[in-house]
Amino acid sequence: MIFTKALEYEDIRKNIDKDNDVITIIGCETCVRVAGSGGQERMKELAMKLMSDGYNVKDGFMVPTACTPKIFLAKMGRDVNTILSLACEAGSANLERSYPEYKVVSTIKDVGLMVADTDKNVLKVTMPYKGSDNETGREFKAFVGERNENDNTLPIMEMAEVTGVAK
Amino acid sequence: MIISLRSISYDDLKKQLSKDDKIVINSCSSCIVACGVGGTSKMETLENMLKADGYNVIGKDLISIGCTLNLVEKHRKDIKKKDMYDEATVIIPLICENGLKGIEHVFSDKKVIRIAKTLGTGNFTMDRGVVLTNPFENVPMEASVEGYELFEVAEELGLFEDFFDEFDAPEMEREYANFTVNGEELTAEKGRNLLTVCEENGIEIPHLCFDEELTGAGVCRMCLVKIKGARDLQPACCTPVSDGMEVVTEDEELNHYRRIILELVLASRNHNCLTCSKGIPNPMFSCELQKLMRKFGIESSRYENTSEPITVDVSSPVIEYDANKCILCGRCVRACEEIAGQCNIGFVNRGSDTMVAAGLNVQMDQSACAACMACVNVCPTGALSERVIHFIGKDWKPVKVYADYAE
Repeated sequence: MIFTKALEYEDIRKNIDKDNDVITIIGCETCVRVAGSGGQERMKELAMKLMSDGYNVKDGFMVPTACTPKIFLAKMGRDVNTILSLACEAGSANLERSYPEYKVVSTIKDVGLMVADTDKNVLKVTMPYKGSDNETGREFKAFVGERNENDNTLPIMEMAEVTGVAK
Repeated sequence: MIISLRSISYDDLKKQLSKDDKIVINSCSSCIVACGVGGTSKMETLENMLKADGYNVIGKDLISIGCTLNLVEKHRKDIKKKDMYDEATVIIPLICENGLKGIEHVFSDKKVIRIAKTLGTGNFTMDRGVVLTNPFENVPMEASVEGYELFEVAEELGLFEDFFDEFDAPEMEREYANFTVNGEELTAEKGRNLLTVCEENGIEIPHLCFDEELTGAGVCRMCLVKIKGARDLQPACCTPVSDGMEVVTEDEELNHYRRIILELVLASRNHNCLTCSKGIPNPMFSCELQKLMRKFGIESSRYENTSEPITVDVSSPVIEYDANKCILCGRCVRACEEIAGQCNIGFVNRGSDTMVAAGLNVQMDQSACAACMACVNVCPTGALSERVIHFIGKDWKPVKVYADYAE
């Protein structure tokens, strides 16, 4: 699975226009939900905030996976011209490629790959993307994305691997 | 989707093995399948190649999501797989490098052989297959919305775009059976399942409870066939082929039974699925029950439908369970046990009240469901499906999309 973090609200706002953008939010229910950066609650939170700040958010779709053709399960309204992607960067790329006539704005950034334990509700970053090397071996609470109290709940990586960065 | 390619040749794999090794091949059933490096058929290919070369492959195991550590641990401890894993000295996981870390931990007492290199993330597309859009830093390619097809990436990085080639191994000595199906002479390896062999030879046998990734159950009775000399009709999905068999898969009598079974299914619960996401056949999913109804020209049932409507379970954020559409084929029950390693889904109640339920007959989100989708992927109807939710209005209200109920 892919570990992601939500972009700051101000950074999302910078990329959308109150006057011209008619927005649909498309969210993925897989990795970003488990990582706590996406999912239904986060989508609602973002939509409410944008609406209260005067942005024209028409609707939102949660699709099972944004990195597959299942994004087409979202039926776009006629007047919509902007998609806010509540998906990982690969999901956003899929949206951009599949909806070339729309402006696609990412709301989430990739950190790296992760291993999860759904019984313990813990995630561990195993293979980081560039710029996130310091996240290697770190653990986070599943479905929330907050940093775990310790990084030893999932003993799947040797410390040498953590400090050496496995990319 | 995590993108990986095969990184070692068959010869290099063999160099890491000895003839004394007891080998288990396991595979993740997620991204790596789309990348062409994993899944049931790839495990079978590798098993056959290694056996033909004289190696001792003692078993194989499909894991729904290999990067979910607790699922991998449950597979190792599974009462039906524990002996196999305990006996193994070598594990060959068909898995990405991320999932490999969990495998190496769970099987730290075994030799684990890495066969794939993970390159970044990407998409599955309908026209170009899997494409790499967001490569890792150590992959000399820029991020690209269009994405790179796997053959391009393989060429650039000196990796393999396909799985191991079965022609790299000697032909395995097999025992073959000669038999006839509907008068047509067929040859297949002895012991293989009749239904699969027939399908490979273009002979379609209707079925509902059979899935090639699961053990046969023979409970739907749709694949009953006539075998000369057998006492009664036999389920093709549970019948191994043998020499001299004379099989009839379709005639007026068999089709009559099949129509009755379908009418009985139609009369139990609600299969009027005009708005079900699986009701419209498309490349991602389609309803196998509706396909059979169309094939047999069934528009209504002669039997009275006395079932009471059951509330649709939308408690899970990802899975919608509509028991009204369940035909009790048990695929989900077997998938949860065999592929997820969870045993979280089972049958509850008795007789006409029998239904599939999660945990101790609780809502899906109250159970131990890991949302690995193993059950959804094998469900032949719209009973278990992926949720698609549309939110609208100032209060962001969820409304129905491809569903028979209001959220």
